[in-house]
Amino acid sequence: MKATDKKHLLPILGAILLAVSPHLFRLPPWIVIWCLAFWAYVLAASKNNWYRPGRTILVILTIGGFIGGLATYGFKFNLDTGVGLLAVMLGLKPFEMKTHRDRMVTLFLVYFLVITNLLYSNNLVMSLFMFASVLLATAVLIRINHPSGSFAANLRLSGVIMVQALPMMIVLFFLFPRIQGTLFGMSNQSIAITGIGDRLSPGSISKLVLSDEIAFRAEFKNSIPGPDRLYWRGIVFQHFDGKTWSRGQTRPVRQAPVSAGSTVGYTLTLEPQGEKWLFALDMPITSPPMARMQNDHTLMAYRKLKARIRYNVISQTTYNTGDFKSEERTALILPAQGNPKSTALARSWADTFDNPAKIVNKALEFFSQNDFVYSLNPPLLKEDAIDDFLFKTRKGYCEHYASAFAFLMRKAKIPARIVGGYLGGELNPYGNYLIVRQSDAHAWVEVWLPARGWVRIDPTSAVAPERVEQGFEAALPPEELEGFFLLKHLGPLQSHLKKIIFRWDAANNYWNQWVLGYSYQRQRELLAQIGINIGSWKGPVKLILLVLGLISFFVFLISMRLFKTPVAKTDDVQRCYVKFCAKLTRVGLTRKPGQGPVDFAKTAIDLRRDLEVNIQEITDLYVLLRYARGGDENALKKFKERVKEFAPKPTI
Amino acid sequence: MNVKFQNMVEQIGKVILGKREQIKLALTCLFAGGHLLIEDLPGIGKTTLAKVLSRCLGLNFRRIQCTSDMLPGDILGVSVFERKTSSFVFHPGPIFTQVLLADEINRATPKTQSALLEAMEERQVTVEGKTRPLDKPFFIIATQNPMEQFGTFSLPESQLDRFLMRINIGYPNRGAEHKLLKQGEVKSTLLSTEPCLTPGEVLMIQKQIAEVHTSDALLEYVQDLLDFTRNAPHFSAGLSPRAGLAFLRAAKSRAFLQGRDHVLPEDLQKVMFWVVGHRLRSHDDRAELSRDRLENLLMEVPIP
Repeated sequence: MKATDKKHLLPILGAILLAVSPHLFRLPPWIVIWCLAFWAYVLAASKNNWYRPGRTILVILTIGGFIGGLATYGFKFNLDTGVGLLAVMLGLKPFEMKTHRDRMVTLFLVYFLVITNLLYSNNLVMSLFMFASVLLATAVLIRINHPSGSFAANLRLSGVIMVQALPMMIVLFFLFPRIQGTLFGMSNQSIAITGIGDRLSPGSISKLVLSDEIAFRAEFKNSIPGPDRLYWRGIVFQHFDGKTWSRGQTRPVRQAPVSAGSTVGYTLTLEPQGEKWLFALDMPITSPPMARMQNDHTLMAYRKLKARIRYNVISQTTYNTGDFKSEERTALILPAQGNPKSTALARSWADTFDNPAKIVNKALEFFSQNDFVYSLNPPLLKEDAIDDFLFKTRKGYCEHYASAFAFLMRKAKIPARIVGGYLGGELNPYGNYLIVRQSDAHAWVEVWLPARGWVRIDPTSAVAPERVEQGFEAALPPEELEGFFLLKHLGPLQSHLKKIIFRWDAANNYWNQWVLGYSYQRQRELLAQIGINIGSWKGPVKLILLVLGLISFFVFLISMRLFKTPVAKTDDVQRCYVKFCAKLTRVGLTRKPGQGPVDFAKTAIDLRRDLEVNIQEITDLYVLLRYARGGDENALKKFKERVKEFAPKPTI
Repeated sequence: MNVKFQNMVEQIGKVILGKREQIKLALTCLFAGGHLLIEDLPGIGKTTLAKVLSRCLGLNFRRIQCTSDMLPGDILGVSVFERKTSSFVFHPGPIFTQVLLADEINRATPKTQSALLEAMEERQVTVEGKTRPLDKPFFIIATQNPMEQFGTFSLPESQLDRFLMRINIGYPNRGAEHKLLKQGEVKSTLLSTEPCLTPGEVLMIQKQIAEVHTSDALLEYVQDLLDFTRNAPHFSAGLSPRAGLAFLRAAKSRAFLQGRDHVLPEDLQKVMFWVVGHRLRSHDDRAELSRDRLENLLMEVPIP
């Protein structure tokens, strides 16, 4: 094995490892071990002159790894399989790195590998990581071609090249045609996060509290409403089977029947949850283009959301939904059997009070006056879940209270339903928007009251009013929070860390908005603004010309800098001499920056005998003025004149 | 070119055939007042060059053949008790001369090499506490064989730095070798070489060389070159200020011998490899850089 092989092996392996590292968490363990083991062996083998497998063994390993990879993915060919097989090949690649060409091919594979990361994630961290990865790969590429200098210098040059590429990147980012839909038409489930599902049973909200994932961010046009109004409505649960609530039939409505009230406008950036419902403050009165408003005042998208979307909504925070409609009768239906104690309680209220509002208050009183506890770890509920909760365990999270409350209301002949969504949100002062996390997931109840329509009742607030005002951390008993990582455990560091987190989130938000949010539609709008209509046949031609024009402009600028002779000093003599050299350059006689004046004169005269007298005279004067003693004003004047007169004609 | 200088090159060229470039470099080095290291294979003419140089300059010449059992006293001299006067009398060593040829210097032990150091830098020797000045002018011409490394003590960088130039001679071309083979032994031609100068004249020329004009623009170029060796990633360490001074001295000497009273960037470029070649190491493997590579690198530095 040659010394160059050894010298370049480590940098190339480093570049591969950095490029593949995000995949290592996704790949099946055996492929990870396969890669790392082979790389470690190649490295050790090159140091200690161990045995290196020949062609036959490599072919066997390749075929074996290929079949093994396919088998691991169940012989289905999709994105994961592709990346897995690529990793299998990469594990073996260093074994056949013998020539310069092999090393180049491997490095190009590294660039490809960097791009494959984009198929899984395109957030800010990944983008920064990819920049780092390309920086390293380019530095290694420089190194294997020009193996001199320190690696730090290679990295610096790589950085310079990347900075030079930046203008072109920006041009292509804005003008390269965007693809509608996902890349290669591949659907990708892995980027969707788990949010509120279409069923509500005990535990389905409280399990979300553990997730710190961001559900959405909301920017308000004007001031942000108070915490008691930040109920983000997502899904309405109508059917109850004794344990679980599920969505009922809804139908799209043209205009939400909501009476006038104060409105609030905002823009939501919703992370993909793989579901159809969009979130909006109680009650939305407009619907974004990708969704339709339903008759239960929820916004339902046309298809499941697999990518981050951004939409504008206007809501009314005070509202009246109007008359009770016949299709809303489902809000009274309950299973015939079960929960006798609760049924009796609700019936007794219905008999005592004639006004539904009084029944609602009575029920809230029942929760606040008995020793109900707001808890993440409620005991398991038995057969008659509502009875068990209301009279025995009395410990639960918001879904328990909402479920029990809605049950009681329906038994008391008041239409009731559960709304699932989020409550509150955290204000990011850098960017002035609300961050709503999965841990803000919440369920509450709506009851229909005569003359007021559907009214939001949050039974949780009767038990733990802090939940509404300050979030779940404040509402839960302290011993339940011990397992959580909370900022307040950090003491004085808390405020600093909080600031960093907010800034980071703001950066991510801008990234999502301006980089990832630059869609086909936005590109169309931008191009339309500069007079390019992508729809017509002229549009693409204009676009291509614009891209080519801009790129050649940047290339021109950069090459100008490359060919410019650096002039350190610009005193009179030097300026004049530079002019003289420029004149000679025009006729094809270029002075190298390190060429001395006498040497240059000699080469120039050799090539152009006809200019001998002029060149010699000017050079002599220049040497006299610049390097010798006794250059005076007269000499300078003469020098300037001679250079001015000097007008070499190009040879034919 | 300076007429006297031309004459000398002719004279020496009769002995060392076909090596005008090396002869000029050696003279440049000696007139700059620097010591010369000749590195080449045995039998190529290193010693002859040293001899003919000293003869031509009209200087005293002595030679020491360095071996591993040589002691500093063998070079500097020792005090010997003399019965007649009942006192110690200093017997000066071979270093008390004007041109000292240290043959195969890398065969001497570091102890002996370092004894030469003081003499080279200070132009004086200290024996038994007494400092004695050396003759003027004083040059050391050292030779070493780059191929044979067994049983040698290669000169450390600090010591290499004290040689103003390091040159190699190389095989003669076909024509020169033909002439050499025809005329046979070089001894007779060597002996027939007439001194061209006197020691006084040598000192005079050295003084004139020191007065060669260097313009600010030129000094800036020197500094740019020095900065380049210090900042560029190709070298393990840049040139020292002493190397910078040596560089400029060599360039001045060349300018003078070319018959000019001012230094041009070309002077620096012509002596560059011979002055800095042994002072720079490549960053990658700490090996010396080839002439082409070093000159290409330094030619990247624009002349201000």
